Amino acid sequence: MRKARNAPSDLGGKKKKRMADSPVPVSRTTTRPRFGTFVFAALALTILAVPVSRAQEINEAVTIEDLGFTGRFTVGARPSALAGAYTAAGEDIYSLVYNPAGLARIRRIETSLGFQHKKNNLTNVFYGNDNEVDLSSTRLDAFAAAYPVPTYRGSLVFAGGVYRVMSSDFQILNRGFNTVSETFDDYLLQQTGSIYSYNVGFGVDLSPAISAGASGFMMDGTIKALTQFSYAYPPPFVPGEQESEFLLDDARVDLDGYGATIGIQYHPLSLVRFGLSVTTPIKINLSGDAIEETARYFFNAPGEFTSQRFAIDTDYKIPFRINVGFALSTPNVLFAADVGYTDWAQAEINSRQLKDEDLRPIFNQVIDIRAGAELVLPFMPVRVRAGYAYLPYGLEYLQADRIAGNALTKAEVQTQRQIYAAGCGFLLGRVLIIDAAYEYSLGKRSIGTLVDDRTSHRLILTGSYRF
Amino acid sequence: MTVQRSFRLLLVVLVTALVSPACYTLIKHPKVIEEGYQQEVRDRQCTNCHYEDEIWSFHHPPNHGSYPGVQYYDWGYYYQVPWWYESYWYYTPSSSETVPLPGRTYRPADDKSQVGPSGRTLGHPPDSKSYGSSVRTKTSDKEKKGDTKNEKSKKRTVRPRGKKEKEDG
Repeated sequence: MRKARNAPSDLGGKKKKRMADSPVPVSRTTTRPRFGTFVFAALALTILAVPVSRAQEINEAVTIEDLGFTGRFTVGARPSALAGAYTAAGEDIYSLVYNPAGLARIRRIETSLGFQHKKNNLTNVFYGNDNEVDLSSTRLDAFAAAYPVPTYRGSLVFAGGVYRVMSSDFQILNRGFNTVSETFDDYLLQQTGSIYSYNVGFGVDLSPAISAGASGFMMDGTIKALTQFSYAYPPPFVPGEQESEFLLDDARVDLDGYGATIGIQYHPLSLVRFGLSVTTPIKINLSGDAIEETARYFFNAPGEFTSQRFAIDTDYKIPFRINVGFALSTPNVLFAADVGYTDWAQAEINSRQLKDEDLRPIFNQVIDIRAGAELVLPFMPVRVRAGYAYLPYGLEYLQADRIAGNALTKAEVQTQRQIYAAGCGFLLGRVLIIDAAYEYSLGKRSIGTLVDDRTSHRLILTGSYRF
Repeated sequence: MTVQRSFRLLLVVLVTALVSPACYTLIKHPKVIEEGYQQEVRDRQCTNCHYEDEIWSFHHPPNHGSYPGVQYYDWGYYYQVPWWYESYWYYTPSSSETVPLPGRTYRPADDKSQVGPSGRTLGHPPDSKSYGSSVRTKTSDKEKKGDTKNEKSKKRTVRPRGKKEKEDG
């Protein structure tokens, strides 16, 4: 089935359809319609509008994934090398992110600075045509400080810091002959942006065996997304028939968000620790604008060029997250394991959950598992560690044709997302620890016309100084 | 919604525990009442009345769990020694010696009467759990008669093993 060869007069409808396909959702209006108007419109258009609306909402699930909201980073070299199993094992400034209760184990004033280098590889097999994209970035991983209040008994530690918790760096290329629409498709998305979390919190000993903590965080970032696509019909043409269309969409949005984390650590025995942390739903707002330019060419007829500016104002809700952790800390070996639960079905865009036409959620409930081990070398001030994480996809759908804005298709997961990590830490001069970690992640999904194969390499380097 | 309610409840419990006077963590020393005498402790003269390993246990209860590698090199210093800790030496298991902390004057383990760099005088502990300079003056007569706790304190240190080894040597 060919894509509709729209006449110029049909541009408005075409444009509206394209808006749903934007890498960053574009609001329909800058002001919300009055409730009465909304009800009337809903009643009048119920039968026809709902399937279209559902399709557009479903597409936004891809946007959530593209923006990096489903791929929260592990921050800090030591936690990353343990694959993020830090809910019970945390005992430094990075506990502020994983489980604030771990802050209570800090005894000295601590500052930490870290950087990360990441290289993504995305291989899309689009209608049998391989498209491989590499993207690398080097950015701040964390900058944080903790202050233990002098106590007569127990522990009270305040901490604050900025952490890079998500990345919106993403590129995708879908190029090939689309046998469904019978067009030569060329879709390219270049998106950059880091999402930083500004955290403040504390940890306190509630008893000799129980520590608790809480932190609040605000998220901030800027995301730039440049979408370029074109599609061309194969000849022959009749006069006035559309040959091709080109689109360039340049969007820039500011991201703001907030949430909180609370947690406890329980030490029933000297070698054993348990941890529990709960992160509230994270409210995120994207606001900004986009300039969209479209050129359409017709056979033996004048072409058409349009340029429009769109306002962007979209609210997201990232669901709550629960982590349960266990740590066995012997003098020479640390073993840590975490189980996390996120009900991604509760993710929302503009206060609406994403569901298909049968009201089934697009996102899944996800249980992820992380485990790591650390070995202390007795003959030198070095610790080595390794970890593994099993992180099932929250979204098991793919969008076959991003240009047409097709609804998502249920994908077959060949390889669930996994992380293999390793690292080491050096103690220098009693007060400075240099930690390094390497992380390799992979995951693969596919539908009949598209294979989505992603790998990434990440190197994290942090230095922590204790006064 | 249930999760949000649970979260709020947990937050309330946490805040309540923090502000509760029954909280385990003590930022301010409780008032000492001894034989009708009431004294508010305003300075960190913990060793006047507490043994150092007792003070250590306040920050590291037995089941608090160890930190990886604390018996090797300086991991123990990095993780365990509070920055405000009022000891003028610490024990490094690898060398079995007491070593002065940076910027602090070495004080022999059997001498508890030196003045630290902060200007605080660390005198002999009284036989009662009374604190403060006025209390020390009050109990000075008792010290002359003999202070059994002081004798005990010579056998104690922050790290019992290190202290003992030093004294044995």
